[in-house]
Amino acid sequence: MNDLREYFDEIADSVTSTATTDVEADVTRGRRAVRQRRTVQTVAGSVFGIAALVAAFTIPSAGVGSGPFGPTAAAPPAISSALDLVAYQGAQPKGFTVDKVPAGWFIQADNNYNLLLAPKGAGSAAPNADPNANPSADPRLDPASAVGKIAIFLESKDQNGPARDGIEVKVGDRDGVLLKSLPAMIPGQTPAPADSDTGWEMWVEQPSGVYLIVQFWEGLGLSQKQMVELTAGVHVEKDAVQSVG
Amino acid sequence: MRLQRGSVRSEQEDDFRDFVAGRRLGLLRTAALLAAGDTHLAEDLVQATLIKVYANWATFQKVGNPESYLRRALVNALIDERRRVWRRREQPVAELPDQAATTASSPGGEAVRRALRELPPRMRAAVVFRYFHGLDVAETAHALECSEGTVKSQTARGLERLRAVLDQQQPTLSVQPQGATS
Repeated sequence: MNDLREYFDEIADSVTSTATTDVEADVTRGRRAVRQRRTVQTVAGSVFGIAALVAAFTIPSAGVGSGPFGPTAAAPPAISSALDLVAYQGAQPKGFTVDKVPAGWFIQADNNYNLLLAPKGAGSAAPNADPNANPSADPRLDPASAVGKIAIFLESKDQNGPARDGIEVKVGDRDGVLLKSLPAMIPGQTPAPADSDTGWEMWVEQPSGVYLIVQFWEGLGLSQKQMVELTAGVHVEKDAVQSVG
Repeated sequence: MRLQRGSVRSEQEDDFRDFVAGRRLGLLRTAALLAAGDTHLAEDLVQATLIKVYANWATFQKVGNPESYLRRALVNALIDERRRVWRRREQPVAELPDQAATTASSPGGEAVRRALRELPPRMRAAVVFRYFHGLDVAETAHALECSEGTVKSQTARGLERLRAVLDQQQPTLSVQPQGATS
């Protein structure tokens, strides 16, 4: 066994021990995807009409999202009452600094690779947090989880800008692209409908050519203007590092 | 009318079942390489691909080159998966971990697995399609929706990086490919 093909065979063979033959599970997943697509189309057609559909929806250019899940809503709410942005008053983190955060939020985790903003009450650094709380029981308590939070980081070393078309926005003096996150596909869990709030990602190219990404988890209720405003206040410091993978 | 429509759907689903039964393992083997030996990610890629096939079954049956369609869908799923940042509550790290979530393998296999993980998705796919499936440059370009020149450069760079890692890991290992034609 001393050539590449044999090693490839060995890696490919490694899945045979865990391979599932549950054909019905694939049929069920397929039915569910088709049902979701029909729901999206029905709702879109009845509520917005064709003109509004063209204006408000885009079809991803590639990837899973362009196939079974059909069109995805591409417009964030114009007005939000869920969160207000306020000037950040605390100690500045390492790889990234921030001018503004949502009112009542704090920096839950930071290092040279990422920065995590979370609502108070989440995580060990939060005021009034239960020191005995189990992070695995609530993702908000887990400083390694972005669920319900805002994550700031650079694109991975194997990425090269946004993969899909999005809303072109001006972020400070830079050009940015706001992408609607694709529905997560987590084994054992039903993907969220593509027309629901699946969260947003703001991509802003830095002078180095590397993109800054600010990921807004679904359900935060931030308007497009607020996402732009928050991102404009994010500064990539010299110690910021791209992750791998 | 409803009965007739239900009957058609049933027939189509039976065809899909036959397709899955006959092709799932092959897709999983390709996905395992695209996922650099991560069996969980490989399963995700196959599931995403089969969802796409199911949802577009009528179209899929008419495509001239279903193999190419499937390979492209797997690669798109891989790229999409890797761009879904933070979705899995993962912590970005500076360097890839030494061990993937995989079964035991030979030292050489493990070295190749690690080397594959360090290749960008499209470069990894180009190497896999050329030297695992034995596709020629044109077929690989079609599967990756890129130019033949891109395939050649991506493959060359991928092999170079595989060779460098393997030489570092085990100087005696060879990365001479077999079965690929230009």
